[in-house]
Amino acid sequence: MSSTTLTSDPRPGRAARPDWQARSRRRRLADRVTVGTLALYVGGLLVLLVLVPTVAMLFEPGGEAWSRLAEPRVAEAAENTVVIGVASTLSATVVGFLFAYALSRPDIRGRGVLRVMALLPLISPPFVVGLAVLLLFGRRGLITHELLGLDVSLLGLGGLWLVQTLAFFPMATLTLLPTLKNIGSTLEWASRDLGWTWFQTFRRVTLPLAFPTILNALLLVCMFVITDFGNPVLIGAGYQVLSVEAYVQAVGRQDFGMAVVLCVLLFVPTLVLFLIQRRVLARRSAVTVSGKTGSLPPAPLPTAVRRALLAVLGLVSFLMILIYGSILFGSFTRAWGANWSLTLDHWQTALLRGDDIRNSALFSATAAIITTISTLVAAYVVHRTKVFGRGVMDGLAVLPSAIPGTMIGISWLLTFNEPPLALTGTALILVLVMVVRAIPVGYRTAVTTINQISPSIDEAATDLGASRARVIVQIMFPLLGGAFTTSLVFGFLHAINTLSAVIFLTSPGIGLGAPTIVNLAEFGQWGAATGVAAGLMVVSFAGLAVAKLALGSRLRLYDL
Amino acid sequence: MRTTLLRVAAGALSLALLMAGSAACGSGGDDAASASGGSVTWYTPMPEEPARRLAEAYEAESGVEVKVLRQSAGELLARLKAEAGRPQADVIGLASGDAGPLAKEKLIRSYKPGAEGIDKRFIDPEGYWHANELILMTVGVNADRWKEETGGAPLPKTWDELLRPDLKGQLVMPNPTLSGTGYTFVATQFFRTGDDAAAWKFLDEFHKLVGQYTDSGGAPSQLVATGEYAAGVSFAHDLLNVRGAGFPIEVVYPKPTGVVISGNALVQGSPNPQGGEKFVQWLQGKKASQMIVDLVHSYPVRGDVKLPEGAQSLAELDLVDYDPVRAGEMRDAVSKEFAKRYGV
Repeated sequence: MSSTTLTSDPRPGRAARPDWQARSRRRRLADRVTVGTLALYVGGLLVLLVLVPTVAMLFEPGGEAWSRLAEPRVAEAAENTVVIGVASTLSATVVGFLFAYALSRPDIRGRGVLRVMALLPLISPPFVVGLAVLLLFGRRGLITHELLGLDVSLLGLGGLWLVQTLAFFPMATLTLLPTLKNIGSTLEWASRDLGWTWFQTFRRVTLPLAFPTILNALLLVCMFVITDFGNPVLIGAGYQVLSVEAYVQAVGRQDFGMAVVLCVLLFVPTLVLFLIQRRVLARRSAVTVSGKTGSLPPAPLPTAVRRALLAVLGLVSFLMILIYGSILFGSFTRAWGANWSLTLDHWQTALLRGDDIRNSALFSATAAIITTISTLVAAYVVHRTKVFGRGVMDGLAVLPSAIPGTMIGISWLLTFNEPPLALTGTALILVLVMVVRAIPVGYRTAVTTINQISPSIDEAATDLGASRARVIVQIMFPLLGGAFTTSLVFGFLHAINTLSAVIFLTSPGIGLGAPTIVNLAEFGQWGAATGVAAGLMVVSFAGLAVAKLALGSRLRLYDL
Repeated sequence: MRTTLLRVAAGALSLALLMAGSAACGSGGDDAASASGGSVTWYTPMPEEPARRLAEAYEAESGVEVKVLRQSAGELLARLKAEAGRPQADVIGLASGDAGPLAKEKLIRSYKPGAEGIDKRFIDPEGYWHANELILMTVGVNADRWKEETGGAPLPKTWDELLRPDLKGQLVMPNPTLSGTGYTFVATQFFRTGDDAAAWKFLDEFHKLVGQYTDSGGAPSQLVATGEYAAGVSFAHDLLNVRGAGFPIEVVYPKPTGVVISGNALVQGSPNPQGGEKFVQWLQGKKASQMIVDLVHSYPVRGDVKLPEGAQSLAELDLVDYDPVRAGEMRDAVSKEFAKRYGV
């Protein structure tokens, strides 16, 4: 309102209204442009990189392939997938929850160590973890055979369960930690003050508040478990699951049609979980960041609970230290388990493959940046606007994690090999496929965070006259800072270890670290493979360090 | 705080665009080079180190750059099929048995160079595959495990000597319905017995001892090296590589030994057809053949190549009369029967 209107009319409201209305109209128009641009970007990205290749893939099988669904081999693989899917998803989510719970409690000591433990599986290159587990706990394993004199075989369901639990619990921790941290300590104190025990509080306050996020974690972990290929192929030993079956159809028999049919089977559990989770989310509010913040520290844990928690997490950590320690140690020994003499040969090999490792780092960093920005925008568009097609975008952003990497690679090769979308042979296609692999987790993290921010905050800002653009830049971005950095780091780690999707998209002259590891391992050069893997891990840690330096205290991984 | 975050985001985005842009430009330059006949693209399942050395040697000699992509045979075949609309490779390495189906799908083309010095038995009359080396079908034995399970029995000299009841669950082999290695083992049994019933009888007995059918041909050598199984079916060079890395593995050549011809084929509609032809011919020459034998530990298809030290000459080895064409023809039926009998 200008001062002239004020002086010309003693009653301010009336004369000012036309001016206010015009401004409001302009603002609404600007808001539409803002939202439209963002929605167009997200929609375009998801359609081009997710929808188009998936649809191209679905046209691959003929009627004959669909009829083979009834084969006993397929039925057995489906059954096994359900068994290991349920087992590993539950155990990984429970372990992940315990880690997140412990990390959210200031009275748990050694959280720094636990944080590193929950980070390690994210930094593990393909193949070597499974191999290390075999060499430690297998039939001739260092621990099981040499130390304990046992003759047990890890191959099969049991071993696969163990390895998948260790590999995927960080996904649950990553998803759950922000929620557990943000659950108001005020509520817990209130419950304790009113006479409830720790257990009653945990069961009646903490768990219900965390429930939507727990479902989110289950969904995410489940998708990783059932599309996992590396672990079942090495450790599963004839325990045939759908993702491996799809790989052998596509690669062993070059029968893409049958492989696609198997992948469609894999959509089913993901879709069911996805729908359940959406329904629950729609009914419950997960808002924990509102205008008012509780400043009480979390209530201390009873000693017995704290000890039990530390015992379980200590055991898991011990296993992880053994596994990753042996990878590092293995990269300095001539032949793991057979010849313990020390050597620098494997690190020399890693240096010779410096180009591949450098490409991996460079492409992954690029992919992480694109992923982070895109997923935050996507989460905002889907959950804070009323744009047409939000539901479809929501589904498309999660879809890539329901498809085994091998099939993503092949569908991309089928889609992007010919004009108008001829991208094969370029570095760009590798970056983009890494983006697609990392989108689901980044998106889920962003959604969890955005859902915790009460809409009343942006409503308040809008009521006070802020435009959409201003709400996004001045309110959403700062509040999403934690999700931003987490997504950036996770995207980087996820991209650098991507294997099955990039195998079909690398081209001569543009090598990557992860496929090199497998190439070396395939010919028994495990030392060299471990060397390259260790090199990749060093680069990953260096990436973390660079991110830490650049972002300083804003990089709070597992510590939103 | 918000401005810093914004600046980081803006900087990150521009960096991303810059890198994506430069990557796209870089590859554009490569395309131009290959169009001018300056390079040949070679997909090969050969171990990476020998493949790179061969590429370097050819480059030094001819001035033509060889771009190598090393992956497993199955992955390369899947890629070849998916890329059929716009082939990226000029030459693809394969086993002779894989050539038939690929020729039928018009993914590879026929070419008949002189093939001077190549043993007549290893020349494809139709010109689809161009032999480089012979790969022997062998058994890898974990010496410690073998001693434990058999009570110190001597290593097997024939296929039948492998059929020991005390090895129940101790053998590992690639699933022949999925892996070329596994199928070579099965076909070897058919060729050596010359009698379908006898071959199935052997396979029935063998199946009772198998603890696991792996999905890939390379897996048994690894599982035997780590001691998960006492013995496994593998190609000789896989085992020699694992042994070379320091693992306690013995290579056994059961008589009569199976053998596969490995070589290269020209990709139909490839970017540089003439360049591919020249490279395929060079790979069959004396120099390249000697390099392959030395680096891969396989047997040559030429008479004028020196064998690796300590290796038995082909004449001394008792080789099965392996017919790649027939092996290819009967593969479907045998795989189906194998799957039915043993449920894999």
